[in-house]
Amino acid sequence: MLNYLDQTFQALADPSRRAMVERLTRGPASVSELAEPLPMSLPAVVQHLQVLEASGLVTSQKVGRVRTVTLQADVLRQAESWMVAQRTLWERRLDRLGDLLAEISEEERL
Amino acid sequence: MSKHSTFTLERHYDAPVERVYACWANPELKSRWFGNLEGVHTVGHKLDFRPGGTEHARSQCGKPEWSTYNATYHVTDENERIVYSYSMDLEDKRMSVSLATIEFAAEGKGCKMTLTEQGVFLDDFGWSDGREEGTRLLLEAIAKDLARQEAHA
Repeated sequence: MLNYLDQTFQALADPSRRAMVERLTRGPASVSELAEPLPMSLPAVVQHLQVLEASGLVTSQKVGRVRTVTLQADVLRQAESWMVAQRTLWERRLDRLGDLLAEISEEERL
Repeated sequence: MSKHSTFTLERHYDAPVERVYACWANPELKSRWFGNLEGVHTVGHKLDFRPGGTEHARSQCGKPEWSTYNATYHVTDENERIVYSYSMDLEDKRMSVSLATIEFAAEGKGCKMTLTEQGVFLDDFGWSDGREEGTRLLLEAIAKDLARQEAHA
C-alpha cells in the first residue's frame, strides 16, 4: 500500500503518462487511441504504458491485433484518495511553514 | 475495512533548527502555518506542547462539513524530535488515526526536517467515491508536487 502510493506518484510524474491516465478515466482505450493525441512515436507510448502497468495503475489485454488498456480503479479507490489527500495536505503545510520561516527572518531584518 | 499507509516527506529550510522546531512548539507560530492554508478555514486551534499535552483544531475545506483534529504529544525532544498521535473526524465520524514523527537535523546553515506519517484509514466515507474523484485528486496532488519541486529547483 505505501509503496503503491510512491510508485503511483512516480508513474504520474510525467505529463504524457498523466494525459494517458486522464484519457483512461473516461473508459478503456486501445494503444493507438492513446498514442493519437500525443506528439511521440508508438514505441515511446508503449514504454510509458509499461511504466503505468508496472505501477499497477493500468492493465492491458490483447485481443486479436488490438491491445486495450484499462485504468485500474482499485489503485485509486477511496482509501488511496484519502492518503493522497493527506500527503498533499502535508506538502502544502510544509510549504506554508517555509513561507512562515521566510516571513520571520524578514520581520527580524526590519 | 481498515487500510494502512506510511509516507515520508523531507524538506530543507534555510533557517536554523531551533527556529524550525519553534514553529511546531510555539502555539502562536504553529497557528500561523498549520491550518492557515488557502481554501482551508481553521478555527479553535489550541496547542499544549509537552508529553501528554494535546492539540485541537476544527476546519472546513471548501465543503460545509467540519473535520476535527485531536492530537496527543508523546515525545517533545527539543530541536531533535517530536512524536504525536492524532485522529481526524469528519462531522461525528472517525476517519483516520495516525502516528506522526518529525525529526530535525542541522544541514549546512539550515535545517533538514523529516516527517513520517503512519496511519490507519478506518472506513468508507462519503467525500469521494469512484475512480474519477480519486484520479482527479491524484492528478492534482502530482501537479502540486511538481510545481513545488520546480519552485525549489
